[in-house]
Amino acid sequence: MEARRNLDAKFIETSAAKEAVLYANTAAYLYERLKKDASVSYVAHELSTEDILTLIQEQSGKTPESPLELVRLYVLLVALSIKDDLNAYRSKFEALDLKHVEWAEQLRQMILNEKVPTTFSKIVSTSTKGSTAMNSTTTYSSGIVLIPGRDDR
Amino acid sequence: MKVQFALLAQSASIDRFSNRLSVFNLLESIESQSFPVFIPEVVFVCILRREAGDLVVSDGTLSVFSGDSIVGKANVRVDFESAQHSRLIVNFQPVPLMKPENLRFQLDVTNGPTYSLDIPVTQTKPAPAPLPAPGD
Repeated sequence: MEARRNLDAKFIETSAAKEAVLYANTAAYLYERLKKDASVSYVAHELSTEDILTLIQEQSGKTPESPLELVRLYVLLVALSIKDDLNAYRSKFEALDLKHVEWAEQLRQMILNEKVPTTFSKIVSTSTKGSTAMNSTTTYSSGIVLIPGRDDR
Repeated sequence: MKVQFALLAQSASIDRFSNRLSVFNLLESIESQSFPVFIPEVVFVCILRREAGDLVVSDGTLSVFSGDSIVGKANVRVDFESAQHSRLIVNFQPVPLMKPENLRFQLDVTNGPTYSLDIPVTQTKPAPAPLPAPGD
């Protein structure tokens, strides 16, 4: 798969990520530690949300065969937490079979619960419309700033 | 649907990693020596709470008034997705104030609440001219 070829293992299996998985005693601890690690930023930067979900789907259907496989899976999962467009793939994310991986289900719930829907709009000057998606919501909006005395009111 | 709270600030940001919302420099009043005046950036932040029977997605408008004059308007969409809360953040650049009259942000959500947020705008006295230096 193209996405997998583009990933460099050394940036995913960082010592910090391996340490986090090794020492984790709760899913919350693992989540907080991995979120701060460069491996998660790397995956989120290199792969699209769809690619990450596809990779997780391929790997999560069975019990991980090695600790490194488990590290990779956790990094992929946590990388989803910083993808802005995750909500567009919410159903695919919810449909993933994660029962073979310890804490994966809890990680999924943490990621989904963190996504407070947010609508962000920027209305600039006159007759300008803008919209931006923030984290979990993609929303369209338009607006206008009216300056009395101007003809474009 | 209810407005849990709303406020005005000079800026707001959402942490990419934690999705936590932070607001900076709350606007509780605006004072100026002269009018008109242009506030370079005003951010309206509103947290809405979903109640039983509410639609997942609702549209509405956010109107900005300086006294009775409308100085800004934005179409907004409130989307709860599967959550109980939704954040609405609208950044206006700039906000013109023509007179020392209240600045009002009014949110009207279709089949939902109407909410007004008023900020007092006052004109301050100009600073007294400096006294002439001795010997002038």
